Amino acid sequence: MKSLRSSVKKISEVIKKDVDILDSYGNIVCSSNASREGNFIESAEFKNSMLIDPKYNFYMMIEGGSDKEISLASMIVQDKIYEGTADNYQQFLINILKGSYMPIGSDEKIDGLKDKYFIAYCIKLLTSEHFDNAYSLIRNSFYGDSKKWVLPFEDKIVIVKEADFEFDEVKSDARMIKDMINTELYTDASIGVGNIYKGFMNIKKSYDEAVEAVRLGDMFSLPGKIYVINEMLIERLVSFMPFAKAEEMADGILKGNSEDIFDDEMLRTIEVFYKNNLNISDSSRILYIHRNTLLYRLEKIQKATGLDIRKFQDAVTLKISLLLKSRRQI
Amino acid sequence: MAKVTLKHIYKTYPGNVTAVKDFNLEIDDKEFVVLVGPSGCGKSTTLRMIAGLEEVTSGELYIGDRFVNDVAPKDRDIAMVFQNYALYPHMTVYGNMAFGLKLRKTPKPEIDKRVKEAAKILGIEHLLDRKPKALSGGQRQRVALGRAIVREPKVFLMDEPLSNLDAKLRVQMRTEIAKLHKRLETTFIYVTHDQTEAMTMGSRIVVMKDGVIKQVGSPQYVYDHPDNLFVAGFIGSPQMNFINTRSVEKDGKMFAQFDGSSLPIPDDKASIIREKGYVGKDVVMGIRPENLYDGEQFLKEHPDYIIDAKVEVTELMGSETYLYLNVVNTDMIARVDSQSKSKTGETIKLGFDMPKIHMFDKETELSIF
Repeated sequence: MKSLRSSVKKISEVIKKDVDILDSYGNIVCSSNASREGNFIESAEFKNSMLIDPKYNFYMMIEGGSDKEISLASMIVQDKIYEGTADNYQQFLINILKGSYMPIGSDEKIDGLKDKYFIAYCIKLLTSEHFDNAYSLIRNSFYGDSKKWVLPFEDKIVIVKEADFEFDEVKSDARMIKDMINTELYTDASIGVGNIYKGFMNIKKSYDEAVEAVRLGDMFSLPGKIYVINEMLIERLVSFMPFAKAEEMADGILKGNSEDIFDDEMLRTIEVFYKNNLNISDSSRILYIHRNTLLYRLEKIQKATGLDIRKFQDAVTLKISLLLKSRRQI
Repeated sequence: MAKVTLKHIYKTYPGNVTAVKDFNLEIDDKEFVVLVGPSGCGKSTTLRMIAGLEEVTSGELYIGDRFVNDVAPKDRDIAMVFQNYALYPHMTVYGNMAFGLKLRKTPKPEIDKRVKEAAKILGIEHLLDRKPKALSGGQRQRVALGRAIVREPKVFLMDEPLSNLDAKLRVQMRTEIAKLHKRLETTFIYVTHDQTEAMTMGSRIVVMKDGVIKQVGSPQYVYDHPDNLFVAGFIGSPQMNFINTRSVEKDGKMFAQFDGSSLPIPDDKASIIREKGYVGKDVVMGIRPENLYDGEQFLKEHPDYIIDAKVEVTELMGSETYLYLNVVNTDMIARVDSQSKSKTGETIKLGFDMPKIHMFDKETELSIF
């Protein structure tokens, strides 16, 4: 965007008029006069404008500009868009997601991506009617962040991020996107996050994992709707097992007790106990129950299944058994 | 402006996990109701059902007189403020507040009017031309609130909106939101896990646990008259102290007896114990930290209400001191005067303000008084 802004400035200096780039809603996303950025132009005032990027619906507008000035300026800016910079990367990344490496424009810049690390998020909206608005919202949220690219891809919105191994930041980005979609668009979304890989050719691998994370999240009805693939190894393994076999194995371990023992309160107790690394004190504090109540519940599980989930191995066995039971056919 | 009615609301997720059970609540027009409870108690799920972001499994939900179970979120006349938000970095404050309305294709003059009105309410008119990077944390939070205000909703839904702020800003924004509610005169439903936020902001609080309402009432009423052991422990900081005791009657007087010690129970409370059949039974006695005393005056005036206690830690808070005590094998906290002379390691005389005690059934955990 920096390079686009400098082109727009240069044109403005020559014709002595403000030159603006607008999105389809009339937001000025780039201007020769920085104070105009973020302003809103109503569609009726779009008359002195020209479509410069049909794919993402960007327009150029010159207030009081002649047709010739607008045409000429549009040609220069269009060349800039397709020559390199952000939008060029965007098409390049979409090609990568499609599984084809088709360099566009300057290979030099793309060569620079070979040694960098990337991570992909995929955002799946509850309904497609909000797709364009969600895409616009996310692009605007990360505007000016040169390490993130927001891409519309098939029925999903994909974010490719130059990664720095800060998974906390990845999760906080995902939470922010989800809350923004909820509050601004009044709809919901599931967000999958892939692993971090070196080199742009592996972006597709990270994206495929992000899509898989969403699928697994739905399959196991996991809470929160933000799914990070590197936290879902057990779910991934369990998902490969045939349904009939899974039921049989789970029933063998749970000894037909799943309905009686594992009610909502018990499932919540187990979830918190696992999240707190099998720590009795921390878990009872978070559950807001006395530690003896927690011990009583754990003993109840042991009586019914023989599994003492204070022991790591038994905890894993119960976790897998409950996942086998909770898997949905989707 | 609207009332919100929830009748027998249930939320069950696939896999038969029930997050909310038989939730019944009538929220009056212009009321500020806070849903509070520990993590996983179903408060956010309830709010998201009101918003329409989660389907109601069964039960009836009304906003105003309109049955809204199947109404799309955008048509419910609500606005939401959640914990995580971003301001669009390249847009001015004006642009940030107007963005949602632009997406909804609201006419420009209408957007202009609403943004300016909201800015006036929030006291950020002078910031409308600024970009987010030029704003302080509190100003950014106000812009986020502004985005909700410009929608002119009948009901505001807020889910832990202050959780990401530092402690100082959280206290400041708590007051701002309470003031905003007064200015807007609209229904507010606010979710938090922080009982201090609940106590200070809500005109009524709804205490939840395991998807169930445990008590509804004004903050003061819930604090003074907790319905059960959970509410008694959850509301109040430091939390209420609990001691396992037995109610014993000797020579027409009632005592709370525990581990070789006993304290006399005032007559009015003793008659409740008799009426409800708890004489000779194990019960849980509760007493708030501010109802325990180590000062000479109280000890002199109430010689019967004294027990020995070992001081394990003292914490000077400035205006008061917290004593962490061991009282007949039970850990307790006393909130005493900052001039307290009690020192770590000492055994002190601890006074119980017995007219202020609470009693709970040991099995059902329900309040006896």
